Amino acid sequence: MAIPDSAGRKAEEHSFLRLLLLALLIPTACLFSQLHGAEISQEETDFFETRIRPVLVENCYLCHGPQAEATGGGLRLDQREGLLHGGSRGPSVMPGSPGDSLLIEAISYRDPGLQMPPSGKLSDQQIADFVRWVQMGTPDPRQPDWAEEQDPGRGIDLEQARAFWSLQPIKEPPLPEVDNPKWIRSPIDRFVLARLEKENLAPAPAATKRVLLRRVTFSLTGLPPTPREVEDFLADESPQAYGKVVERLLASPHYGERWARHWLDLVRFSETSGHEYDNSKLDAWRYRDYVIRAFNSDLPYNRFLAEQIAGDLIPEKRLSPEGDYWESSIGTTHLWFGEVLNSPTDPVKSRADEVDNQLDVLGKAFLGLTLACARCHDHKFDPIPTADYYSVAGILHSTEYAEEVLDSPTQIGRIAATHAKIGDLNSQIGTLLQPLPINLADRLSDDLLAAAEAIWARGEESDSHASSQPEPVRSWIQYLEEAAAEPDHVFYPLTAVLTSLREGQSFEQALAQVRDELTDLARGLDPQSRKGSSIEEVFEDFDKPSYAGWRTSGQAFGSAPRRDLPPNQSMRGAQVLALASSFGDGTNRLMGSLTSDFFETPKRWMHVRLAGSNEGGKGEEAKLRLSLVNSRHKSLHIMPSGSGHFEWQSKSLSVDRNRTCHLEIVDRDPTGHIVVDKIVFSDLAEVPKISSPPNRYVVELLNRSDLKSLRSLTSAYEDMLRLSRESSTSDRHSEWLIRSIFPFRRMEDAAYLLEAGSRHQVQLLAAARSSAEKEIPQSVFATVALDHRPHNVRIHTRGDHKNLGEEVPRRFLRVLAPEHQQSVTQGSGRLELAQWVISPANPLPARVLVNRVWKHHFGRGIVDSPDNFGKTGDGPTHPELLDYLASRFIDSDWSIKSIHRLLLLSSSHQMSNRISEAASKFDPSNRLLHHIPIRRLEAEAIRDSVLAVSGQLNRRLFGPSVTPHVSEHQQGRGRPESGPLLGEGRRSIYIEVRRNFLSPMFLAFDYPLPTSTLGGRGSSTVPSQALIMMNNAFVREQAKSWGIRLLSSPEATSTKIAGMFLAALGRPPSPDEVEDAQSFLQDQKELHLRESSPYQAKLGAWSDLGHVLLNSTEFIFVQ
Amino acid sequence: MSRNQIDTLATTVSRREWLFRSANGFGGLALLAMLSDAALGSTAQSSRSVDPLRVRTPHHPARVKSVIFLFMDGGPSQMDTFDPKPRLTQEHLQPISMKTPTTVFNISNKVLASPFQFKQYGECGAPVSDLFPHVATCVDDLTIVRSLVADHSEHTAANYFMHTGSGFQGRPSVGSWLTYGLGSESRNLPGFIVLENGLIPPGGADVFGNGFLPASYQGTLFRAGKHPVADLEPAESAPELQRRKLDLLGRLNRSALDRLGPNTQLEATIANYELAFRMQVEVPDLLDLSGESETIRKLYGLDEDDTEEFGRSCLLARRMVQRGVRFIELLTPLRKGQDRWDQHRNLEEGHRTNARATDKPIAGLLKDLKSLGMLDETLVLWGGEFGRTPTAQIGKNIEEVGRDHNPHGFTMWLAGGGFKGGLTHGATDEYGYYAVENRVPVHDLHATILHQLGLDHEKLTFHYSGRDMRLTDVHGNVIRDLLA
Repeated sequence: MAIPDSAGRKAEEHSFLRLLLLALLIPTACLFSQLHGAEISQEETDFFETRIRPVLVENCYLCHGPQAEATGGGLRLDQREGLLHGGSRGPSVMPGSPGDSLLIEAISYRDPGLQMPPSGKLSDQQIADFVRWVQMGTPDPRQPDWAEEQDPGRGIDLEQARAFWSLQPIKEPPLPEVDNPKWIRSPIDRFVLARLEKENLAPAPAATKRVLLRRVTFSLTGLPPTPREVEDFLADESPQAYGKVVERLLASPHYGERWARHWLDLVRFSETSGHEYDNSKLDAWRYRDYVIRAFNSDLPYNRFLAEQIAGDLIPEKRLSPEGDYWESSIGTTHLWFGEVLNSPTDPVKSRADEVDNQLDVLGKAFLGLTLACARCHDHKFDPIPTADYYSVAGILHSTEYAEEVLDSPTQIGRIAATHAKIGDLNSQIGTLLQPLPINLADRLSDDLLAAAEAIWARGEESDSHASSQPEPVRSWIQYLEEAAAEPDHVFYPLTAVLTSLREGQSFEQALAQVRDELTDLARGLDPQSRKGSSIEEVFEDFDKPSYAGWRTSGQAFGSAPRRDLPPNQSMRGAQVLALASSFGDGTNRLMGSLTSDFFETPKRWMHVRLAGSNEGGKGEEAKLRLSLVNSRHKSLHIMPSGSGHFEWQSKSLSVDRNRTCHLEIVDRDPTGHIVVDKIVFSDLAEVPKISSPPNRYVVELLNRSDLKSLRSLTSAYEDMLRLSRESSTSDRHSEWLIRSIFPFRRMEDAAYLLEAGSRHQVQLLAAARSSAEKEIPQSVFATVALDHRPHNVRIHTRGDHKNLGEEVPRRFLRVLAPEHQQSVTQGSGRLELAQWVISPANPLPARVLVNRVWKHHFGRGIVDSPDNFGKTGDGPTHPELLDYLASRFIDSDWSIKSIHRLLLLSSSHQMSNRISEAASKFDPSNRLLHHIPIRRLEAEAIRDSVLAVSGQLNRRLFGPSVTPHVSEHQQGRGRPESGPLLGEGRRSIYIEVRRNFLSPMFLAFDYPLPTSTLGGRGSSTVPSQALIMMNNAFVREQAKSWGIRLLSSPEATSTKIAGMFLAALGRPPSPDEVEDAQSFLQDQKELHLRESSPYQAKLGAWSDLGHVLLNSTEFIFVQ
Repeated sequence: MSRNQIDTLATTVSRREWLFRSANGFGGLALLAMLSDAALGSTAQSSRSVDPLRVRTPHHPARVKSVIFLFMDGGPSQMDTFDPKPRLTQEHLQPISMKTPTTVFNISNKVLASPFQFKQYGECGAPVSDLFPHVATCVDDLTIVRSLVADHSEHTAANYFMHTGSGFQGRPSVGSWLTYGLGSESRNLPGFIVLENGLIPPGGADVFGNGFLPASYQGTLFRAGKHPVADLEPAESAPELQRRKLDLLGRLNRSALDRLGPNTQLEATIANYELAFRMQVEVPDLLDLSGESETIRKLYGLDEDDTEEFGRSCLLARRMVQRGVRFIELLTPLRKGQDRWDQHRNLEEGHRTNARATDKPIAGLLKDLKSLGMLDETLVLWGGEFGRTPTAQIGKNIEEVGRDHNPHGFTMWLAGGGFKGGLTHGATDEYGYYAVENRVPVHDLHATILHQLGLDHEKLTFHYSGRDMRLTDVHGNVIRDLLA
């Protein structure tokens, strides 16, 4: 494919020399012949490729690849030399003699001390193939390439490479002299004009004011100028008129919307993950808003770039405009816009693919380098060795994504202060409620007995009996019924006895049975002699002083698991010692998350006991959930049922089994909470019967000798409670006991048992609490980057993650790095990467960016390949101009708005589209810029213009995206519920980008697929464009809205027509056009009258005229 | 300037000639304006990009004009269709005695016998299971490739791979590459059409996307039912209403062109309206099967409930070939209770249902093309994104047994288009898990298809992202053994 450049050729010579040398060192002629693939027949090659190589790759390369020294006894099977040379045991094959070949010995599994591969014997067929292959003389067509692997990047002379134009330092050039200085309005004009004059060409005459206004308004805001803006500009005859317009547009909030979209093209902005189910990416819209704000506030571009890579790590992090959250962290969100597989069979590979996509974007968008070309081999054209690719890849491999609360310290303080107030109120309420358990305990035996007898009497009948009982017996009945399912529940013995009694056993038998069961359980034995597969593994019960093994974000979950429950939290089923609770000190308002460390899912099922509210969301969009995350894919979700008490929920782990996963417990709901008690893995679908041993007081209780009847059992409970309360050393078991012997759902539910004074107090405090709750501000979540397990990676030889080469340090591309760059030893290295990228020593970011701005204003870049400043890209048409702009850019503190001013106020930008004959002959593609070409609007600008002209444009900024309208022609998995046809009239940038359901209208007009960086959209012509503009319901609706507006206007027909032309095309109609439009209106009205009312006919005619204007070529083109 | 196909393969059709080609639509005034002397002054450079779909000269003489891809979404099982494996029956529900790869569900390693019976057919004696009694009668026209190898075990990535040669989103589909390379012989229809019956494969519309190629080459989706093409039908209640709108539009555009000077992009946009207008006329005509004889309708199974849907698609495909459409893809019809050919459960019932819906129509298509003398110039390709495992995926009970995904060795067949009829190529191992003989990577299949259309897969490139991109990436060999 490629003609090797000099460096490549040199590399080939180099490895050829290596090969020669190697050949000389191996004197046997037979071996020498083995080194020559050329002497192998096609048949032999086929045999090797189909029967041998796949087996070697699959089974052997992992240990017997480049790291063979460490793991594989020095034997390398990824190269034919290695095979013959052998490892620590000597040569692995004797060509022609399978009986003498260690390799055959090993794979035959005859010798228990030498069995390969260790993961399991190969199939008989595979073994037979190897025997035959050795018999054939081990024909092996593999090219000797280890020399290349040993010395990555050997062929690239970095010093020489830096001579390439784009890698040279930026030098501010002198301003060229020109023959026609009158034309010069901006320094850039000198560069343009000097170049034209050199070819004896003249610039096109200036564009008219109307053309100019329409051009610059679209350029800066993506919207057409309003008729009023046109009139104002025409009326302003001052020399500063145009400058004022530029300033007005740069100050418009719509400027950021327009230019943010250009940026989003570069970072493959997408709000879903694609693949089979097209799952949502949470918070992607925050990144979109972040970019809009960055452009509107003219954030210095070097600062912006640093935030893209390390916005969470940079010193002097940036706050949001209101100061409530860390704005800069959101810059890193773009790392996670790539595709995500649902069920990768090889998660290591999919991670490598993800990093590759991140690098591809980072390289092309920020540096204009096709970095990803170096994944499998040294870049064939640019000075990027594979080793450098993996140096930067190591930084991204050390970076994880995280759903983080971004609250600023001020915000945290505000939340904490109110939170403390609520905690204080709750503890006051708690104090008032304190007598309740004591009051209840004093009558425990009687109440329990009444409840137990009611249950016994009811037998298997309906549970309506409870409501006929007085409180607190009614609550006790419900409580005991729930206890029946939980062997670790304090009242499980009582309910178990009741069950046995109902089955006709004697009290003694019943008691003995439950005593044995619990004694066994206390010893950790299952009474039903469990099989190996039924052993549960308690992953987490939060029975520890801290959230060790979990990372907390936000304040909802506090700093440690909770033991105490606030009085307004459900007590029901809380016979538990420790909880991860987002209920704070008793308020739903707090938000936050817990994220576990990575672990390998050990068994087939996951069971979670949890409680909480239910806000109705599904999947990752549920605001309260526990999710299992497998390779960036949130594959399983468990949501609280909202029942108010603890329940088990179980999920099958078929796809996630034995995968490296982590768990997230998330509360993003300002009006709800989630409480997790236990997370258990097992191989059975059934909910684990036991996950914590029974309370020892309960076991002791059952061993009392005086238990003869139900009454004696309930009395024993009362005694036990009294004893534990009086015990001088309060331990966890007694705490638990006191809390468990309480039948109400919440402590506050029993407040009616208090005397009137205290009751009133409780009411007042609760009211104060709810007003305090309203003061708690909502937290801001975003999906950002997080340093995680920093490590270097090894080169993936030929891009194969199973074929690992040498480890490379985490550092920047050597060709761009400062002299003697230090490798990263602490953290991921993103901060260092950011610093290297924006370092003054790196000329690329400034050059690349000014070229992008230029391209958007002039239709083509000074470099026509905006994402590729390497050798395969295009060279600059005006190299000095590019450097001049880059210098000005850096001098202006990387202000993009200053570049706009420089370009827009020039004569160059104010040329018309007129092409002189000389120019069209000499330079038909306008490389020298002798005119400003006519250009079609982008998809979004067309839709936004339709809305603006029809009067339906909703100019609201920011916020969560509007679900796209999905037609019957868009089908498939992950299809969202269709959003509104008009998209709420919002600008197109706010329409959700659902990867698998992109708008057909956008796609017809060359909207980019969110796969990688795209600095230059196409401008193609397809019939669907015409079909959409003629027939699509959106466009027709807009024409109708426009018609309605026109119909209700009192103006004269000709004035209305003129207004329509002005709004849609930025120019008044010619007298002929007015006349034509008038007769059209008349004709259409008459046609419509055949089947419509006079009003409908008039409306139809005006709508038709509007529709025609929206379809006119002038509408979708700018001059 | 650009290194891409539009320029390198340019057989410069003059702009006037091209405009005449499209001269019978609406808005004759607009056309006249464009043909005026003033409008003809544009440069040679710009005239090249006017019609992206004009017919281009291939790299070498083409054997095939059109391709019909019968895409069996979900992955039909090779050992239950065209690749019988007696060993599966012998070892039914025994642990498989070979090393197996990680699969998507990774549930079972027990061998599963095929529930279907095989018989040999035709002169070539190729075995076909009882799923396809009709297609079986055409085996002497089929090239059965039993050794396809793909790279991905997951539907979406596998669908992208089968269509675009890459497992990632955003690459051009084969149909896009073909129309990019060859243009379209159809004046009034898109060059690349996908016919669906309510079932879009995982990966969505991007499976038929133009990727980085210009939007002109994107696949157009035709849905079954009343509104086959999005936004095709005029919304106006009377044709005259639309007519007058288009006339006014023509006049406005003419005046714009007068004022803005000659500009190919503007002209192309104007002409584009003509094509869209002709499509409005052509598509209903294409879809109107009333002119087809009763014999033909029966041949395609239009008279039976099970086969009516897919039969209609097959017959439409033939009609599209006759109208010069370059690449037609037919998607698996939606069957109640079945998840495409993706039988992780209920293999027998699922495969029978899908086969019943498609077998007769496919055989009808092959026979019809043959009798019309069109099979030579038309390539028909049948297959899914991967095959299935010889091992069982056992759900709640053994009756519900199915098979998991398997890209390591599976079957596709080709018919017509200069392929050798009656040939069986390649083989899988004794279980049917891996292709072991004459392995055919998907890239090779792509290279061979392009070859038959006159395109060299190494020369058909588009410069993007710093590289000359190809359908076959850096891989692909034309498999000459398959060619007659």
